Amino acid sequence: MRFKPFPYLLLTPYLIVFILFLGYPIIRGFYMSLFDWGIMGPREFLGLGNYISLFSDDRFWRVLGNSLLFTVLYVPPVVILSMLLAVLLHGYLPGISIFRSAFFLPIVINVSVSAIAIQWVMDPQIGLLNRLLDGVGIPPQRWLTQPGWAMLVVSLVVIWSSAGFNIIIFLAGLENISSEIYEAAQVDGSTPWHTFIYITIPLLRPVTLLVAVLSMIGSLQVFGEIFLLTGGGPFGSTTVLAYYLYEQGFNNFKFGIAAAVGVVMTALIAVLTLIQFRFFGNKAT
Amino acid sequence: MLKIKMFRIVVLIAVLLLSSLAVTAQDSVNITFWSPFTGPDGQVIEAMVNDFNQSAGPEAGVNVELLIVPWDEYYTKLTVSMASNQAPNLAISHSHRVPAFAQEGTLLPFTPEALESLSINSDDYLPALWNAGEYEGARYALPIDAFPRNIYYNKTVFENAGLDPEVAPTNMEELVAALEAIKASGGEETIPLYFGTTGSWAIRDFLTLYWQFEPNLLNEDGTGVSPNFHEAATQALEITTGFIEDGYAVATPGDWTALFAQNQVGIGFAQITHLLSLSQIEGLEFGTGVFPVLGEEPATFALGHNFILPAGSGQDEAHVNASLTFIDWFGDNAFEWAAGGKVPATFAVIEDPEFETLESQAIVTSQMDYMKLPPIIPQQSEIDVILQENVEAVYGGQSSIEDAVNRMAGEINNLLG
Repeated sequence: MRFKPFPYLLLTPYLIVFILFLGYPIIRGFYMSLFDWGIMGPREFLGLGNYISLFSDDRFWRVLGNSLLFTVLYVPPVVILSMLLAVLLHGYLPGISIFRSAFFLPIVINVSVSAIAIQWVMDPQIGLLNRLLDGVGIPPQRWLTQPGWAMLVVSLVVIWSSAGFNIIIFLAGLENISSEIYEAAQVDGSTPWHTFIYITIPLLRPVTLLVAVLSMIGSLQVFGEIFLLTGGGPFGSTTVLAYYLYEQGFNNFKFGIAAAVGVVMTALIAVLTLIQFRFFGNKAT
Repeated sequence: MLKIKMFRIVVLIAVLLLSSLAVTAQDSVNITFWSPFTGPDGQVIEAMVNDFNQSAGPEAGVNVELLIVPWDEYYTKLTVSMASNQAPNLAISHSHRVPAFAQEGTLLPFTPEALESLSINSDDYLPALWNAGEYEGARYALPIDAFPRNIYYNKTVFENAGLDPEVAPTNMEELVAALEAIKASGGEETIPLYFGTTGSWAIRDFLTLYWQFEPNLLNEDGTGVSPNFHEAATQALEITTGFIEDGYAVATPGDWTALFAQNQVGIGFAQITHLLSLSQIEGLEFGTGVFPVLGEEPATFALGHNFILPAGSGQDEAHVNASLTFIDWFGDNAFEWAAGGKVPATFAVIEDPEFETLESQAIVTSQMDYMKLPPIIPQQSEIDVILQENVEAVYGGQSSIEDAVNRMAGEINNLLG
């Protein structure tokens, strides 16, 4: 088979960026995780010492549990909600582009700006949400400072801010489903609900897998919203892996341990992604 | 002919002027200065830097380039700049961050010669602030101010409750009497007392009360908590949770300044850094008081801001000297900084008759003999996280006081042991 250089030429710019900004940092991160590493660089080679101290730290396991809880609270709802909204937005209704823009808008709002707005809405004393609930007789809730609520609220905020991106992916997937299939179903007397269940969902399976994997990766890397809304509290109940990494690195200057957390996150994401592909991958193609 | 002569003279003068300007530019040293102060504090520091650059700076051949980096990202950016050898020539640091930075080798020490050149003498500074800048025998920070905890009380709420709006409560008896009166006179939405129940303010109020029962957080060796930790921590938390149980305070008060401005909070445990922003709220009548003695001895938590010299490739002798020149000028003009809502670091400003006319600043500064700063150890940031999580657990109803105190002690002992 003759070697064709042109495709590789086209790939080169991406590969250069990938190696510089992803490949090298990943390898460097793993290298750092083997050392006692301070602000100014490595101090002592520890081998797997950072991993041993990490796995023997109760706090790390609590943090890992928090991350997995966030994934559970975030991924299924955002995938389902995005799919449903995409199906609704797929029709040709008057003014549909306004709705599409409205759902996509949160993704272009800076996380700091939205966090400030959310904090005001969620304020236990003067927040809009408690005021509204008060109107229907529900007592005020401490949305961001009560361990039970805080993680749920953060996950809702991230769902709100990221659903737009997923909707765009689902809309692209819906565009690829041939209208002939829907016409055939209509001729056969299929109800809209049956069409959705037996045609749309199965044909969207590859896209759903993509959205689920991307959402899962995003959920394990969530940081900005937690940093700004709860600071990992209350009682460490929203301290997730990325926040813990930040804390170890930039608060405690234990960059070796922070790098070890990063490696664990990468491994966790890789394993969960593989599991998702194993379960859904074959059917998705 | 005359015209040609005149032209030559003009050209010569122009060349001379330009060359003199070039010499000035060449001699002037630019230093980068990172400051985390925003809001009213940011305006004060910006005005002071501008003042320096227009007066003493040109005379000394120093120009300060100020970069304001907001607090929430300040230490992250400073740390990254240090790691990448691109740190500023001069920066600000909280006192409790200095030991960790020093231990990492990221700071240049202020040498005895440098201190002498600035005529800086330890006797001129508040001892607690001065001591916080030293780590393993070397001086890494020069204090510029302190911000202890103090109280603000709403005069309108006081008047409505039949209290004297010119008298702040100073002990438990007076405080409870005031809270009871506010509770009785206020509506459902009135919160008689605000104190920190989440975040760093929760630690600050907790440590203030802790230190009113026990002066040391750690034992003598620094290998664990003080032998009296359990007792003092329990007493401190019993006081604050008692205020909540008695209906004087709420576990999660939200944005206290907004409520205070709306006359919905009677008394707030806060700090002097809020003075300027509260003063700028139209229609708000408030008074300032020292932190009341609710334990056995007066004590109040304090932190300070300091000048530090980050190590880096840009730090040659000329730049360090230029930073020292600015620090020297800042010390001479420290009144301006303190007037913006700080406890001055030096006795020279505190004893300045003009400073005594600043009523609120003078009241808060009167606490200087019993201000207490966190232990000067590199692990303090980790201790803060331990304290914060457990104190939040108590206020959030997730833990009993006894369990939280045991966890705090155990985790701090593990960290330091």
